[in-house]
Amino acid sequence: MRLRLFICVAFGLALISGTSALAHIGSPDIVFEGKAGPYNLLVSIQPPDVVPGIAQVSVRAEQDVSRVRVQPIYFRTGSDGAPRPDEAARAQGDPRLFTGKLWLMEFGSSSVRVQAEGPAGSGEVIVPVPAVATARRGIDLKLGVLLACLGLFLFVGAVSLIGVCAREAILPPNVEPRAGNRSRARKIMLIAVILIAIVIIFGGKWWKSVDSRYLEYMYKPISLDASVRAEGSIRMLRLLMNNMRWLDRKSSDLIPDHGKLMHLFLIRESSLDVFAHLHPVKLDADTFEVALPSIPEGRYKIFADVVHENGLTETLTAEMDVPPASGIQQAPASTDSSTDPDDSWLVNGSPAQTNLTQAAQRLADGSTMTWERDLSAPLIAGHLESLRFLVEASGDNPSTLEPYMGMLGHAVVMRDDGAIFVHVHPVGTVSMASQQAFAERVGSSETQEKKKWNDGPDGIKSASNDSEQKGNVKDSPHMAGMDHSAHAGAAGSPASATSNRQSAVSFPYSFPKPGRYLIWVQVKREGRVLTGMYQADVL
Amino acid sequence: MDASLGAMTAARPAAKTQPLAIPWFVYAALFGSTSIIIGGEWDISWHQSIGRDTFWSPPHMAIYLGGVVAGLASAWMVLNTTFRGSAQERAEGIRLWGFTGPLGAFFCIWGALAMVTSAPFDDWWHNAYGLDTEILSPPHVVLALGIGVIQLGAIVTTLALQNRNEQQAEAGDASAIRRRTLLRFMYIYAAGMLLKSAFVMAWTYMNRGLMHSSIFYQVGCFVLPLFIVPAARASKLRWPATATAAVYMGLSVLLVWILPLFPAEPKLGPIRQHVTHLIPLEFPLLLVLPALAIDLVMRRIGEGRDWLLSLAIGFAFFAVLLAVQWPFGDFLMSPLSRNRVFATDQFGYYVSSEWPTFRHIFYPWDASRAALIYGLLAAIPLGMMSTRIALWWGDWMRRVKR
Repeated sequence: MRLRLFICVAFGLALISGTSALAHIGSPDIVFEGKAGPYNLLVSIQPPDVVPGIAQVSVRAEQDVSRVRVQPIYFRTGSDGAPRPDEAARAQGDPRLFTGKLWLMEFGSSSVRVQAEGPAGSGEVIVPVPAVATARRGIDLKLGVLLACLGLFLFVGAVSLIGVCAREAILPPNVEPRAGNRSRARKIMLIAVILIAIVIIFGGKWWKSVDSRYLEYMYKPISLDASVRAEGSIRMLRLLMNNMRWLDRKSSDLIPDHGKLMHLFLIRESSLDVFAHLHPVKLDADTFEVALPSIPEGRYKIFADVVHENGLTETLTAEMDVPPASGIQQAPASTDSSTDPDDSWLVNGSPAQTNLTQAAQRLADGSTMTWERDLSAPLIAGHLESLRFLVEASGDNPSTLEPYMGMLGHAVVMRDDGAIFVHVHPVGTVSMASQQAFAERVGSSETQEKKKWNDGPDGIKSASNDSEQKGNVKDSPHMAGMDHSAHAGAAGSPASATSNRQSAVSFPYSFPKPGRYLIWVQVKREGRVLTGMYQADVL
Repeated sequence: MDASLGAMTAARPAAKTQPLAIPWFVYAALFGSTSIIIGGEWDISWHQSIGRDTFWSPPHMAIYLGGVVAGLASAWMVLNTTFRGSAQERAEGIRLWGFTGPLGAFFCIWGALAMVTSAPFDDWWHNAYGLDTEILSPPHVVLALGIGVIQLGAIVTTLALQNRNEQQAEAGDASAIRRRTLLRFMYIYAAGMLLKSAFVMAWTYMNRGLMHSSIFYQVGCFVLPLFIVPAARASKLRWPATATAAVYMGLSVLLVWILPLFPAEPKLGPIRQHVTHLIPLEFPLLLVLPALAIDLVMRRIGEGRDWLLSLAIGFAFFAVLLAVQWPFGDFLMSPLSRNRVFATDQFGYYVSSEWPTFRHIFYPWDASRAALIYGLLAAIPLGMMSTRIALWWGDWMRRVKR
């Protein structure tokens, strides 16, 4: 029976069935680049796919630091409920690289506080890390066989021992068991087999119930229903969020990230030649709506990024058919009040060929965007890369990049099959709103002010609704602390440091798996959002 | 336990002057049993206070040590008896799969193998469902089964020796008479250890917060007589059930008092309680009193009427357990118990202030008063059933000679 149980489990469960999750699709590693006091840190985190579990943290400092410590902080219990920070170990042969482990014990929104100390003093930074189970494991064949053999041995051993107990254990020394003893022992062994079988069946049921409880807690993506209807001359896209029920998740607690409650990305399937970055308006807790820009008909993949008040970030996905624009007008340019001035889209984009040393693309305003990468070093899955893009103005015009929703640039990375998707900023893959939520829970080291629990979600939402769609993000109260526009990325070259005609933006990112990837890079120059598109093969 | 230890220490000077001829293997089995149970409770305390553990944490080492000592000593004993044993040693053993040795040694070997099996199973379990957060999980039950069978091995070893010795003593063997008391207490000590580990497994349903709930009495009436009654039936002491319960209480109380002496701080979050030292398990049940009821009923009814005995013990055990633990539960919830002796003011780092136990109130298990009364009444037949099974088991134990 035990053998059957193990074999059933070994073959019945998928080995690992990862699910789409959180602020990404298929790209769970977290990368953050930013300042911890006087130090520039590049933090890379592999969150556990099972909770309770251990996240692997690595921290690279740009300056000399003497020690790095990491500390898990949960949104619900804040810094007061955090254990003493752990020392990160200095890597051998690389004095500026530190590695540590983060034990995440409960489901929910959590973060890591990274503290750095060195000759220039000390500093710290908070990086959100969701503690969410996303994988379900089966037993691999070797382990299954090992456990089945041991189980079978124990089963046979137990029955034999019970037989011995009945047959000869009660006889005085030197007395041989008689036929009566033997027959009684056989009967008792039979009863033992039945009883042990019942216990094993009960154990199997128990195991199943643990498994179903685990499945209940496992991350469940919000499902998104997308529909398009004509409203006068405009194609309106309506998004309805379903399946909110999971742990204590609510649709009514979304907070703005970069001033927007939702960042929506549309990518035309197969040809991948159309890309749009839109910001739908919230109609009610579950419904969002946005006017479609002048994008052609076809089947589109939809990715929508949202952030919950507790810092948990999610990417919602759907597919939809966009009807042709004939007979109806597409939403006019950003002068129309029905669209968000930060909406942007790219039609007939073709990825720059990145087998050239400098993959240059001409942007809509005549300037050029070039992906600076060393082609002698291929992109390898799992390696932390700094994706650096240089914008060069035409003629003698300066090429100063302006903040686009509080950032020097936004990049969208997608594998060509759509199975991997992530929205990256120069600070990495973390959501700024999520980071802000944790910073408020922890309190800055200067003020020790912490977010009060009587901040009702309703108050936050009503304020966000007023400001979110008008594009005035720099003035939004929710953008406080989010202006990372001067952040130029891993290369450490702020926009102003390059020549007058050049500006660079870079994004730290680690491609999770091999394959062909598309990267859309968005910057803002002279009030206009510009999008460059690249393709890269990752080994 | 104090009584048994006292008797053991009292017997030792005699052992020095004139050997009692108790095989070293008996001491190894008892040591293994003790090391495992102390390690197990230390481990639970570790999880309540520090949280983070590894394969090599000190409490785990104590558990492994117990398993290794009992398992290896048993394996050596069986191999030695099989291949080099004297005719007497072989005659005192049982035969299984071509091997000969004491029955208790085979139990210990099986238990050690079950413990070994639980290791990769538990490791996979953590990978699949997360790190340790519960006492009761399927791999932990396999481990507990291994531990329990090792403890059973210790019991059977001391028991076979006691039973053979009693026969020799009755026949007038002077050395058998001399070591009789020590062997009786060794056996009760081993039985008390098994009772202790059975209680730890049942603790989920037998904690302080449930002392006014029917589940506490249902689990108590089913589980506890299963371990106390057989011990009593096979023992030659005057108050065997009481002595077994005293061993359980003695060890538990010592751990409640000793563990907090060691400093500890949580290494996992979220931390909801300020913890500066090891947090012990709860103060033990006042089990000597219900066990005394078992002894009294057994004396009163005597031998040969086991069905009647089952009904009587089932009822008496329930009645005394309820009469003792219900008011003792009230005491444990009162401010009078929040001190070093009863330790009801010590909570694991993860205990939320919303939890009933933290608020010193009982968990509302039963939906209504009627449900509570029906639930309590249901505990009586459970106790009777468990006692009947226990008496069969005890009868076998009384006759074990190998």
